[in-house]
Amino acid sequence: MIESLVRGDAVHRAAYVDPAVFALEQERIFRRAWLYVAHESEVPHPGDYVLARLGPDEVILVRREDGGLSLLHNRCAHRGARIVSAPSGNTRQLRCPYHAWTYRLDGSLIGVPLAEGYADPKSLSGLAAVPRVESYRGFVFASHSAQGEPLPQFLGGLKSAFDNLLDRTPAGSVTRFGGSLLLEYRGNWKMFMENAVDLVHPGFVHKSSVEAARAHPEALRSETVTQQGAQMFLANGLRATQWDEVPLHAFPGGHVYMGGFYRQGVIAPEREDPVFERYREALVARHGAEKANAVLAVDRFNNLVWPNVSINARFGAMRVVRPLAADHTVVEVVCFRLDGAPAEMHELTLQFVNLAASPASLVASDDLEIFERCQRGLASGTNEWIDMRRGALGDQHQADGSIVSRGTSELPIRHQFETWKRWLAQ
Amino acid sequence: MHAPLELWHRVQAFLFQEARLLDERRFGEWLELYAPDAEYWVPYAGEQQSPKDHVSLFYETVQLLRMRVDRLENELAPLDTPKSRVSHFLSNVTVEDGAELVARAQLLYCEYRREEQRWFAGRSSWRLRPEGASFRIAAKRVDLLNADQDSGHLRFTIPF
Repeated sequence: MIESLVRGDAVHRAAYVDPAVFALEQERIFRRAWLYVAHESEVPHPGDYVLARLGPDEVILVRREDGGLSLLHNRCAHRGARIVSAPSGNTRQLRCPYHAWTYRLDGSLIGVPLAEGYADPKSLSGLAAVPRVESYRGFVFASHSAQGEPLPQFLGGLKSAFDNLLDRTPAGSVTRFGGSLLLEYRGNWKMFMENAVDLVHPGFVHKSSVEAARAHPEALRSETVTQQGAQMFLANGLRATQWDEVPLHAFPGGHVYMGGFYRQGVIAPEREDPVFERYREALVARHGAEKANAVLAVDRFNNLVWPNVSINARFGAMRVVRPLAADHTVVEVVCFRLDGAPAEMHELTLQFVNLAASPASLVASDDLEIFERCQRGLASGTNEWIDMRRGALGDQHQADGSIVSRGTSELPIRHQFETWKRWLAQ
Repeated sequence: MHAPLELWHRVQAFLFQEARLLDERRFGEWLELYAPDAEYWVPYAGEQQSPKDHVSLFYETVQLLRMRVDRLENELAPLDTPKSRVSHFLSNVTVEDGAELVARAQLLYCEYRREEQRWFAGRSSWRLRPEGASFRIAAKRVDLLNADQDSGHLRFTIPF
Protein backbone atom coordinates (compact mmCIF):
# COMPACT_ATOMS: atom_id res chain seq x y z
CA MET A 1 0.00 0.00 0.00
CA ILE A 2 2.73 2.46 0.99
CA GLU A 3 4.59 1.61 -2.23
CA SER A 4 1.75 3.11 -4.19
CA LEU A 5 2.63 6.57 -2.84
CA VAL A 6 5.84 6.70 -4.87
CA ARG A 7 5.92 6.33 -8.64
CA GLY A 8 9.12 6.90 -10.59
CA ASP A 9 7.89 10.26 -11.80
CA ALA A 10 5.80 11.53 -8.91
CA VAL A 11 5.05 11.19 -5.23
CA HIS A 12 1.66 11.34 -3.56
CA ARG A 13 1.05 14.38 -1.36
CA ALA A 14 0.19 12.04 1.55
CA ALA A 15 3.96 11.51 1.94
CA TYR A 16 4.12 15.05 3.32
CA VAL A 17 0.78 15.66 4.98
CA ASP A 18 -0.74 12.40 6.23
CA PRO A 19 -0.24 11.76 9.98
CA ALA A 20 -0.59 8.01 9.35
CA VAL A 21 2.33 8.12 6.91
CA PHE A 22 4.30 10.12 9.48
CA ALA A 23 3.61 7.46 12.12
CA LEU A 24 4.81 4.77 9.72
CA GLU A 25 8.00 6.76 9.02
CA GLN A 26 8.65 6.98 12.74
CA GLU A 27 8.22 3.23 13.15
CA ARG A 28 10.03 2.00 10.07
CA ILE A 29 12.72 4.62 9.52
CA PHE A 30 13.30 6.48 12.79
CA ARG A 31 13.02 3.33 14.91
CA ARG A 32 15.22 1.25 12.62
CA ALA A 33 17.82 3.23 10.70
CA TRP A 34 21.16 4.47 12.02
CA LEU A 35 20.60 8.01 13.29
CA TYR A 36 23.17 10.57 14.36
CA VAL A 37 23.20 11.06 18.15
CA ALA A 38 26.14 13.25 19.18
CA HIS A 39 29.90 13.57 18.83
CA GLU A 40 32.34 11.77 21.15
CA SER A 41 34.07 15.08 21.96
CA GLU A 42 30.91 16.07 23.86
CA VAL A 43 31.58 13.34 26.44
CA PRO A 44 35.39 13.13 26.74
CA HIS A 45 35.65 12.04 30.41
CA PRO A 46 34.11 9.21 32.47
CA GLY A 47 30.76 10.37 33.84
CA ASP A 48 30.22 12.97 31.10
CA TYR A 49 26.77 12.87 29.59
CA VAL A 50 24.68 14.74 27.02
CA LEU A 51 20.99 14.57 26.30
CA ALA A 52 20.20 13.69 22.71
CA ARG A 53 17.31 12.62 20.51
CA LEU A 54 17.07 9.27 18.81
CA GLY A 55 14.08 9.39 16.53
CA PRO A 56 11.05 10.08 18.71
CA ASP A 57 12.85 9.33 22.00
CA GLU A 58 15.06 11.28 24.35
CA VAL A 59 18.26 9.45 25.22
CA ILE A 60 21.33 10.02 27.41
CA LEU A 61 24.77 9.45 25.91
CA VAL A 62 27.13 8.62 28.79
CA ARG A 63 30.87 7.97 28.93
CA ARG A 64 31.37 5.04 31.30
CA GLU A 65 34.33 4.51 33.64
CA ASP A 66 35.70 1.87 31.25
CA GLY A 67 35.80 4.51 28.50
CA GLY A 68 32.93 2.98 26.54
CA LEU A 69 29.70 4.72 25.61
CA SER A 70 26.22 3.91 26.88
CA LEU A 71 23.10 5.19 25.23
CA LEU A 72 20.17 5.00 27.65
CA HIS A 73 16.55 6.01 27.45
CA ASN A 74 16.00 9.07 29.65
CA ARG A 75 13.16 7.45 31.49
CA CYS A 76 13.20 5.89 34.94
CA ALA A 77 12.46 2.17 34.93
CA HIS A 78 10.11 2.75 37.87
CA ARG A 79 7.48 5.45 37.18
CA GLY A 80 8.84 6.80 33.93
CA ALA A 81 10.19 10.20 35.06
CA ARG A 82 12.96 11.84 33.05
CA ILE A 83 16.16 11.10 34.93
CA VAL A 84 18.32 13.88 33.51
CA SER A 85 17.07 17.37 32.67
CA ALA A 86 20.31 19.33 32.17
CA PRO A 87 21.44 19.23 28.52
CA SER A 88 24.89 18.04 29.59
CA GLY A 89 26.95 17.41 32.72
CA ASN A 90 29.08 14.96 34.64
CA THR A 91 27.81 12.44 37.15
CA ARG A 92 28.93 9.29 38.99
CA GLN A 93 25.53 7.69 38.83
CA LEU A 94 22.07 8.40 37.44
CA ARG A 95 19.44 8.98 40.05
CA CYS A 96 15.74 9.52 39.50
CA PRO A 97 14.40 12.68 41.20
CA TYR A 98 11.04 11.01 41.96
CA HIS A 99 11.68 7.94 44.19
CA ALA A 100 15.48 7.84 43.97
CA TRP A 101 15.96 4.70 41.94
CA THR A 102 19.68 4.82 41.22
CA TYR A 103 21.59 3.46 38.24
CA ARG A 104 25.21 2.89 37.18
CA LEU A 105 26.52 4.64 34.07
CA ASP A 106 25.77 1.52 32.04
CA GLY A 107 22.11 1.77 33.11
CA SER A 108 22.12 -1.18 35.53
CA LEU A 109 20.21 -0.69 38.75
CA ILE A 110 22.25 0.02 41.89
CA GLY A 111 19.37 0.14 44.27
CA VAL A 112 15.88 1.31 45.15
CA PRO A 113 14.52 2.61 48.46
CA LEU A 114 12.48 0.10 50.50
CA ALA A 115 13.90 -2.84 48.55
CA GLU A 116 12.87 -5.12 51.41
CA GLY A 117 9.24 -4.57 50.43
CA TYR A 118 9.77 -6.34 47.08
CA ALA A 119 9.51 -10.12 46.90
CA ASP A 120 12.41 -10.19 44.41
CA PRO A 121 14.24 -6.84 44.21
CA LYS A 122 16.85 -8.40 41.91
CA SER A 123 14.20 -8.71 39.24
CA LEU A 124 13.75 -4.92 38.99
CA SER A 125 14.93 -3.42 35.69
CA GLY A 126 17.68 -0.94 34.96
CA LEU A 127 17.42 1.86 32.41
CA ALA A 128 16.55 0.68 28.93
CA ALA A 129 19.60 0.81 26.67
CA VAL A 130 19.51 1.47 22.92
CA PRO A 131 20.44 -1.86 21.29
CA ARG A 132 22.96 -0.62 18.73
CA VAL A 133 25.43 2.24 19.25
CA GLU A 134 28.46 2.75 17.03
CA SER A 135 30.88 5.52 16.40
CA TYR A 136 32.22 6.35 12.97
CA ARG A 137 35.49 8.23 13.62
CA GLY A 138 33.96 10.02 16.63
CA PHE A 139 30.46 10.57 15.20
CA VAL A 140 28.09 8.51 17.33
CA PHE A 141 25.14 6.90 15.60
CA ALA A 142 22.56 4.55 17.07
CA SER A 143 19.62 2.44 16.04
CA HIS A 144 16.52 1.45 17.98
CA SER A 145 16.61 -1.84 16.12
CA ALA A 146 18.82 -4.74 17.25
CA GLN A 147 19.11 -5.93 13.65
CA GLY A 148 20.40 -4.29 10.52
CA GLU A 149 23.54 -3.57 8.56
CA PRO A 150 26.64 -2.26 10.37
CA LEU A 151 27.13 1.51 10.48
CA PRO A 152 29.98 1.81 7.92
CA GLN A 153 27.91 -0.12 5.43
CA PHE A 154 24.87 2.08 6.12
CA LEU A 155 26.92 5.27 5.59
CA GLY A 156 28.24 3.78 2.36
CA GLY A 157 29.25 6.39 -0.20
CA LEU A 158 28.87 9.22 2.32
CA LYS A 159 31.54 7.95 4.73
CA SER A 160 33.70 10.19 2.58
CA ALA A 161 32.00 13.30 4.02
CA PHE A 162 33.20 12.44 7.54
CA ASP A 163 36.60 11.37 6.20
CA ASN A 164 37.05 14.68 4.41
CA LEU A 165 36.04 16.64 7.51
CA LEU A 166 38.70 14.78 9.55
CA ASP A 167 41.28 15.05 6.76
CA ARG A 168 40.81 18.81 6.92
CA THR A 169 42.06 18.91 10.51
CA PRO A 170 45.78 19.40 11.19
CA ALA A 171 45.47 17.29 14.39
CA GLY A 172 43.34 14.50 12.91
CA SER A 173 40.28 15.13 15.06
CA VAL A 174 37.32 17.48 15.41
CA THR A 175 35.70 18.87 18.55
CA ARG A 176 32.13 20.05 18.90
CA PHE A 177 32.05 23.67 20.01
CA GLY A 178 29.97 26.80 20.11
CA GLY A 179 26.59 25.42 21.20
CA SER A 180 23.83 24.68 18.73
CA LEU A 181 21.14 26.63 16.95
CA LEU A 182 17.62 25.28 16.72
CA LEU A 183 15.21 26.40 14.07
CA GLU A 184 11.64 25.39 13.72
CA TYR A 185 9.23 25.26 10.81
CA ARG A 186 5.68 24.06 10.22
CA GLY A 187 6.44 21.75 7.38
CA ASN A 188 7.47 18.18 6.67
CA TRP A 189 11.02 17.09 7.53
CA LYS A 190 11.72 15.73 4.03
CA MET A 191 11.38 19.20 2.55
CA PHE A 192 14.58 20.27 4.26
CA MET A 193 16.52 17.27 2.91
CA GLU A 194 15.17 17.82 -0.60
CA ASN A 195 15.74 21.55 -0.66
CA ALA A 196 19.34 21.26 0.59
CA VAL A 197 20.28 19.78 -2.80
CA ASP A 198 17.77 21.65 -5.00
CA LEU A 199 19.82 23.96 -7.17
CA VAL A 200 17.00 25.64 -9.04
CA HIS A 201 15.36 27.34 -6.06
CA PRO A 202 18.22 29.68 -5.02
CA GLY A 203 17.75 31.90 -8.06
CA PHE A 204 14.16 32.52 -7.02
CA VAL A 205 13.85 31.98 -3.27
CA HIS A 206 17.09 33.76 -2.39
CA LYS A 207 16.83 36.48 -5.00
CA SER A 208 16.25 39.23 -2.46
CA SER A 209 19.49 38.51 -0.57
CA VAL A 210 21.40 38.15 -3.87
CA GLU A 211 20.12 41.58 -4.91
CA ALA A 212 20.88 43.09 -1.51
CA ALA A 213 24.49 41.88 -1.78
CA ARG A 214 24.83 43.05 -5.40
CA ALA A 215 23.66 46.50 -4.35
CA HIS A 216 26.57 46.73 -1.89
CA PRO A 217 29.74 45.64 -3.70
CA GLU A 218 31.80 47.49 -1.09
CA ALA A 219 30.86 44.74 1.38
CA LEU A 220 33.25 42.35 -0.42
CA ARG A 221 36.15 44.64 0.48
CA SER A 222 35.05 45.03 4.06
CA GLU A 223 36.05 43.15 7.22
CA THR A 224 35.84 39.36 7.20
CA VAL A 225 32.40 38.97 8.75
CA THR A 226 30.76 41.24 6.20
CA GLN A 227 32.73 39.71 3.33
CA GLN A 228 31.65 36.24 4.27
CA GLY A 229 28.01 37.28 4.38
CA ALA A 230 28.16 39.08 1.05
CA GLN A 231 29.91 36.16 -0.64
CA MET A 232 27.37 33.75 0.76
CA PHE A 233 24.45 35.81 -0.52
CA LEU A 234 26.06 36.35 -3.94
CA ALA A 235 26.81 32.63 -4.35
CA ASN A 236 23.08 31.98 -4.69
CA GLY A 237 22.97 34.24 -7.72
CA LEU A 238 24.43 31.84 -10.31
CA ARG A 239 22.67 31.46 -13.64
CA ALA A 240 20.81 28.22 -14.43
CA THR A 241 23.62 27.10 -16.74
CA GLN A 242 26.13 27.59 -13.91
CA TRP A 243 23.98 25.64 -11.46
CA ASP A 244 23.88 22.88 -14.04
CA GLU A 245 27.64 22.55 -13.75
CA VAL A 246 27.44 21.78 -10.02
CA PRO A 247 27.32 17.97 -10.03
CA LEU A 248 24.94 15.93 -7.90
CA HIS A 249 25.94 12.45 -6.73
CA ALA A 250 23.45 9.94 -5.33
CA PHE A 251 24.56 6.76 -3.54
CA PRO A 252 22.78 3.54 -2.59
CA GLY A 253 21.09 4.06 0.77
CA GLY A 254 19.57 7.43 -0.13
CA HIS A 255 22.69 9.55 0.46
CA VAL A 256 23.45 12.51 -1.79
CA TYR A 257 26.08 15.16 -2.11
CA MET A 258 26.41 18.22 -4.27
CA GLY A 259 29.49 19.95 -5.59
CA GLY A 260 30.61 23.36 -4.41
CA PHE A 261 29.38 26.65 -5.76
CA TYR A 262 31.35 29.18 -3.74
CA ARG A 263 33.68 30.37 -6.47
CA GLN A 264 35.44 32.67 -4.06
CA GLY A 265 34.94 32.36 -0.41
CA VAL A 266 36.49 32.68 2.94
CA ILE A 267 37.23 28.97 3.23
CA ALA A 268 37.69 28.26 -0.47
CA PRO A 269 40.92 26.37 -1.26
CA GLU A 270 42.15 29.15 -3.50
CA ARG A 271 41.95 31.65 -0.69
CA GLU A 272 45.15 33.59 -0.12
CA ASP A 273 45.41 35.20 3.25
CA PRO A 274 47.59 34.84 6.33
CA VAL A 275 45.11 32.77 8.36
CA PHE A 276 44.45 30.36 5.56
CA GLU A 277 48.18 30.09 4.80
CA ARG A 278 48.87 29.11 8.43
CA TYR A 279 46.10 26.56 8.19
CA ARG A 280 47.40 25.16 4.91
CA GLU A 281 50.92 24.86 6.37
CA ALA A 282 49.60 22.94 9.37
CA LEU A 283 47.71 20.64 7.03
CA VAL A 284 50.78 20.09 4.85
CA ALA A 285 52.73 19.18 8.00
CA ARG A 286 50.22 16.41 8.65
CA HIS A 287 49.57 15.09 5.16
CA GLY A 288 52.35 16.32 2.88
CA ALA A 289 51.65 18.86 0.17
CA GLU A 290 50.06 16.57 -2.35
CA LYS A 291 47.46 15.07 -0.06
CA ALA A 292 46.80 18.42 1.67
CA ASN A 293 45.95 19.95 -1.69
CA ALA A 294 43.73 17.02 -2.59
CA VAL A 295 41.87 17.29 0.73
CA LEU A 296 41.25 21.01 0.28
CA ALA A 297 40.20 20.48 -3.32
CA VAL A 298 37.23 18.32 -2.26
CA ASP A 299 34.72 20.94 -3.21
CA ARG A 300 31.37 19.78 -1.91
CA PHE A 301 28.69 21.88 -0.33
CA ASN A 302 25.97 19.82 1.32
CA ASN A 303 26.57 16.14 2.06
CA LEU A 304 23.27 14.48 2.95
CA VAL A 305 23.37 11.34 5.05
CA TRP A 306 19.99 9.72 4.75
CA PRO A 307 17.59 10.13 6.44
CA ASN A 308 18.28 13.38 8.31
CA VAL A 309 21.83 14.75 8.42
CA SER A 310 23.49 17.40 6.28
CA ILE A 311 27.25 17.94 6.65
CA ASN A 312 29.27 20.80 5.32
CA ALA A 313 32.90 19.70 5.78
CA ARG A 314 34.42 22.88 4.36
CA PHE A 315 32.70 25.00 6.97
CA GLY A 316 32.75 22.45 9.81
CA ALA A 317 28.97 22.60 10.16
CA MET A 318 26.33 19.91 10.48
CA ARG A 319 22.54 20.05 10.48
CA VAL A 320 20.33 17.37 11.98
CA VAL A 321 16.68 17.34 10.96
CA ARG A 322 14.25 16.21 13.65
CA PRO A 323 10.71 15.38 12.56
CA LEU A 324 8.11 16.24 15.23
CA ALA A 325 4.91 15.75 13.21
CA ALA A 326 3.95 15.51 9.53
CA ASP A 327 3.85 19.31 9.47
CA HIS A 328 6.35 20.25 12.16
CA THR A 329 10.15 19.98 12.15
CA VAL A 330 13.12 21.24 14.15
CA VAL A 331 16.57 21.55 12.63
CA GLU A 332 19.60 21.52 14.92
CA VAL A 333 22.74 23.19 13.63
CA VAL A 334 26.10 22.33 15.23
CA CYS A 335 29.72 23.37 14.66
CA PHE A 336 32.98 21.43 14.70
CA ARG A 337 36.39 22.84 15.47
CA LEU A 338 39.10 21.56 13.13
CA ASP A 339 41.63 20.61 15.82
CA GLY A 340 45.00 22.18 15.20
CA ALA A 341 43.66 24.88 12.84
CA PRO A 342 44.08 28.61 13.64
CA ALA A 343 41.42 29.92 16.01
CA GLU A 344 40.26 32.45 13.40
CA MET A 345 38.96 29.55 11.30
CA HIS A 346 36.55 28.67 14.08
CA GLU A 347 35.17 32.18 14.14
CA LEU A 348 34.47 31.75 10.43
CA THR A 349 32.60 28.53 11.13
CA LEU A 350 30.41 30.31 13.68
CA GLN A 351 29.84 33.20 11.34
CA PHE A 352 28.90 30.82 8.53
CA VAL A 353 26.37 29.14 10.79
CA ASN A 354 24.96 32.45 12.05
CA LEU A 355 24.57 33.76 8.52
CA ALA A 356 23.43 30.61 6.76
CA ALA A 357 21.47 28.70 9.34
CA SER A 358 20.26 30.87 12.22
CA PRO A 359 16.52 31.56 12.53
CA ALA A 360 17.53 35.13 11.66
CA SER A 361 19.52 34.05 8.59
CA LEU A 362 18.83 35.97 5.40
CA VAL A 363 19.08 32.67 3.53
CA ALA A 364 17.51 29.92 5.67
CA SER A 365 14.53 32.04 6.67
CA ASP A 366 13.33 32.21 3.06
CA ASP A 367 13.68 28.44 2.68
CA LEU A 368 11.63 27.81 5.82
CA GLU A 369 8.92 30.17 4.63
CA ILE A 370 8.74 28.24 1.35
CA PHE A 371 8.46 24.90 3.21
CA GLU A 372 5.50 26.29 5.15
CA ARG A 373 3.86 27.44 1.92
CA CYS A 374 4.37 23.98 0.40
CA GLN A 375 2.89 22.36 3.47
CA ARG A 376 -0.18 24.59 3.29
CA GLY A 377 -0.52 24.05 -0.44
CA LEU A 378 -0.18 20.28 -0.18
CA ALA A 379 -2.95 20.17 2.42
CA SER A 380 -5.39 20.87 -0.39
CA GLY A 381 -6.19 17.89 -2.55
CA THR A 382 -6.57 19.55 -5.92
CA ASN A 383 -3.84 17.41 -7.39
CA GLU A 384 -2.79 14.27 -5.52
CA TRP A 385 0.58 13.85 -7.27
CA ILE A 386 3.74 15.90 -7.02
CA ASP A 387 5.93 15.76 -10.09
CA MET A 388 9.63 14.98 -9.63
CA ARG A 389 10.82 14.39 -13.19
CA ARG A 390 13.01 17.47 -13.66
CA GLY A 391 16.33 16.49 -15.24
CA ALA A 392 15.62 12.74 -15.23
CA LEU A 393 16.93 12.38 -18.78
CA GLY A 394 20.40 13.39 -17.61
CA ASP A 395 20.83 10.83 -14.81
CA GLN A 396 23.96 8.75 -15.40
CA HIS A 397 24.31 5.40 -13.63
CA GLN A 398 27.89 4.68 -12.59
CA ALA A 399 29.69 1.34 -12.27
CA ASP A 400 29.89 1.71 -8.45
CA GLY A 401 26.10 1.90 -8.13
CA SER A 402 25.97 5.67 -7.71
CA ILE A 403 24.10 8.05 -9.99
CA VAL A 404 25.46 11.37 -11.20
CA SER A 405 23.38 14.18 -12.61
CA ARG A 406 23.54 17.81 -13.53
CA GLY A 407 22.90 20.30 -10.76
CA THR A 408 19.40 21.23 -11.82
CA SER A 409 18.10 17.66 -11.76
CA GLU A 410 15.53 16.45 -9.23
CA LEU A 411 17.61 13.27 -8.91
CA PRO A 412 18.03 13.73 -5.12
CA ILE A 413 14.25 13.84 -4.59
CA ARG A 414 13.64 10.76 -6.74
CA HIS A 415 16.53 8.97 -5.05
CA GLN A 416 15.48 9.84 -1.50
CA PHE A 417 11.94 8.65 -2.22
CA GLU A 418 13.16 5.34 -3.66
CA THR A 419 15.01 4.75 -0.39
CA TRP A 420 12.06 5.98 1.66
CA LYS A 421 9.73 3.57 -0.13
CA ARG A 422 12.09 0.64 0.49
CA TRP A 423 12.30 1.33 4.25
CA LEU A 424 8.58 1.90 4.65
CA ALA A 425 7.67 -1.26 2.73
CA GLN A 426 9.82 -3.51 4.94
CA MET B 1 27.26 56.40 37.75
CA HIS B 2 23.69 57.29 36.86
CA ALA B 3 23.35 60.01 34.28
CA PRO B 4 21.77 63.35 35.19
CA LEU B 5 18.08 63.77 34.43
CA GLU B 6 18.56 65.78 31.27
CA LEU B 7 20.93 63.21 29.73
CA TRP B 8 18.67 60.37 30.82
CA HIS B 9 15.78 62.09 29.11
CA ARG B 10 17.68 62.62 25.85
CA VAL B 11 18.91 59.03 25.75
CA GLN B 12 15.45 57.69 26.42
CA ALA B 13 13.98 59.82 23.64
CA PHE B 14 16.71 58.49 21.34
CA LEU B 15 15.88 54.87 22.21
CA PHE B 16 12.18 55.49 21.70
CA GLN B 17 12.99 56.97 18.30
CA GLU B 18 14.93 53.84 17.35
CA ALA B 19 11.97 51.66 18.37
CA ARG B 20 9.58 53.83 16.41
CA LEU B 21 11.67 53.75 13.22
CA LEU B 22 11.68 49.95 13.35
CA ASP B 23 7.96 49.77 14.05
CA GLU B 24 7.26 52.09 11.12
CA ARG B 25 9.63 50.16 8.85
CA ARG B 26 11.73 53.28 8.26
CA PHE B 27 14.82 51.12 7.98
CA GLY B 28 17.05 53.61 6.19
CA GLU B 29 16.55 56.18 8.95
CA TRP B 30 16.96 53.43 11.54
CA LEU B 31 20.43 52.52 10.23
CA GLU B 32 21.42 56.20 10.33
CA LEU B 33 21.34 55.89 14.12
CA TYR B 34 24.24 53.43 14.01
CA ALA B 35 27.95 54.27 13.82
CA PRO B 36 29.60 52.77 10.70
CA ASP B 37 31.62 50.35 12.86
CA ALA B 38 28.70 49.33 15.08
CA GLU B 39 27.79 45.74 15.95
CA TYR B 40 24.32 44.36 16.46
CA TRP B 41 24.25 41.22 18.58
CA VAL B 42 21.50 38.88 19.79
CA PRO B 43 23.30 36.10 21.69
CA TYR B 44 22.04 32.56 21.77
CA ALA B 45 22.72 32.12 25.47
CA GLY B 46 22.18 34.67 28.22
CA GLU B 47 25.58 34.22 29.82
CA GLN B 48 27.34 34.44 26.45
CA GLN B 49 30.50 36.56 26.70
CA SER B 50 31.45 36.76 23.07
CA PRO B 51 29.97 36.18 19.61
CA LYS B 52 33.29 34.62 18.57
CA ASP B 53 33.19 31.39 20.55
CA HIS B 54 29.50 30.50 20.43
CA VAL B 55 26.65 30.63 17.93
CA SER B 56 24.38 33.68 18.03
CA LEU B 57 20.92 34.44 16.72
CA PHE B 58 22.16 37.69 15.13
CA TYR B 59 25.73 38.95 15.00
CA GLU B 60 25.94 41.59 12.31
CA THR B 61 27.89 44.59 11.17
CA VAL B 62 26.11 47.69 9.90
CA GLN B 63 26.75 46.58 6.31
CA LEU B 64 25.09 43.23 6.97
CA LEU B 65 22.19 45.01 8.65
CA ARG B 66 21.89 47.17 5.55
CA MET B 67 21.56 44.08 3.36
CA ARG B 68 19.03 42.70 5.82
CA VAL B 69 16.78 45.73 5.64
CA ASP B 70 17.27 46.22 1.89
CA ARG B 71 15.88 42.76 1.59
CA LEU B 72 12.87 43.58 3.75
CA GLU B 73 12.08 46.41 1.35
CA ASN B 74 12.39 44.07 -1.62
CA GLU B 75 9.05 42.57 -2.60
CA LEU B 76 10.78 39.31 -3.51
CA ALA B 77 11.65 38.06 -0.02
CA PRO B 78 9.32 35.13 0.75
CA LEU B 79 10.14 35.62 4.42
CA ASP B 80 8.50 39.02 4.51
CA THR B 81 5.54 38.41 2.21
CA PRO B 82 3.12 39.24 3.73
CA LYS B 83 5.03 41.84 5.69
CA SER B 84 5.56 41.48 9.40
CA ARG B 85 4.22 44.15 11.71
CA VAL B 86 6.10 44.74 14.91
CA SER B 87 5.76 46.79 18.04
CA HIS B 88 8.72 47.50 20.32
CA PHE B 89 8.00 48.38 23.95
CA LEU B 90 10.84 49.76 26.07
CA SER B 91 10.71 50.39 29.80
CA ASN B 92 12.91 50.55 32.93
CA VAL B 93 15.39 52.66 30.98
CA THR B 94 18.63 53.33 32.84
CA VAL B 95 21.63 55.30 31.65
CA GLU B 96 25.17 55.09 32.99
CA ASP B 97 27.62 57.78 32.05
CA GLY B 98 31.07 56.45 32.84
CA ALA B 99 34.00 55.69 30.56
CA GLU B 100 31.31 55.20 27.97
CA LEU B 101 27.63 55.92 27.76
CA VAL B 102 25.59 52.77 28.35
CA ALA B 103 21.81 52.54 28.21
CA ARG B 104 19.75 49.57 29.31
CA ALA B 105 16.06 48.79 28.99
CA GLN B 106 13.56 45.99 29.30
CA LEU B 107 12.17 44.99 25.92
CA LEU B 108 8.81 43.60 24.89
CA TYR B 109 8.55 42.88 21.17
CA CYS B 110 5.35 41.83 19.49
CA GLU B 111 5.25 40.58 15.92
CA TYR B 112 2.16 39.89 13.84
CA ARG B 113 2.33 38.03 10.55
CA ARG B 114 -0.43 36.17 8.77
CA GLU B 115 -2.66 34.74 11.49
CA GLU B 116 -0.01 34.52 14.16
CA GLN B 117 1.08 36.91 16.90
CA ARG B 118 4.38 36.23 18.71
CA TRP B 119 5.80 37.93 21.80
CA PHE B 120 9.40 38.16 22.92
CA ALA B 121 10.72 39.61 26.14
CA GLY B 122 14.25 40.46 27.08
CA ARG B 123 16.82 43.08 27.95
CA SER B 124 18.45 45.45 25.52
CA SER B 125 21.65 47.38 26.04
CA TRP B 126 23.31 50.02 23.92
CA ARG B 127 26.74 51.58 23.91
CA LEU B 128 26.21 55.13 22.71
CA ARG B 129 28.52 57.80 21.36
CA PRO B 130 27.42 61.39 21.89
CA GLU B 131 27.18 63.22 18.59
CA GLY B 132 26.06 66.83 18.78
CA ALA B 133 22.79 66.91 20.65
CA SER B 134 22.10 63.29 19.78
CA PHE B 135 23.92 59.94 19.75
CA ARG B 136 25.12 57.12 17.54
CA ILE B 137 24.80 53.49 18.51
CA ALA B 138 28.24 51.88 18.74
CA ALA B 139 26.90 48.49 19.83
CA LYS B 140 23.54 46.99 20.63
CA ARG B 141 22.94 43.74 22.44
CA VAL B 142 19.56 42.09 22.98
CA ASP B 143 19.22 39.17 25.39
CA LEU B 144 15.95 37.34 24.82
CA LEU B 145 14.52 35.36 27.74
CA ASN B 146 14.01 32.38 25.48
CA ALA B 147 16.97 32.81 23.12
CA ASP B 148 17.99 29.18 23.59
CA GLN B 149 14.46 27.77 23.61
CA ASP B 150 14.52 23.96 23.31
CA SER B 151 11.93 23.87 20.56
CA GLY B 152 13.87 26.30 18.38
CA HIS B 153 12.61 29.49 16.80
CA LEU B 154 10.65 30.29 13.70
CA ARG B 155 12.42 32.84 11.54
CA PHE B 156 13.12 36.37 12.77
CA THR B 157 12.48 39.27 10.44
CA ILE B 158 12.60 42.82 11.80
CA PRO B 159 15.44 43.39 14.29
CA PHE B 160 14.69 43.67 18.01
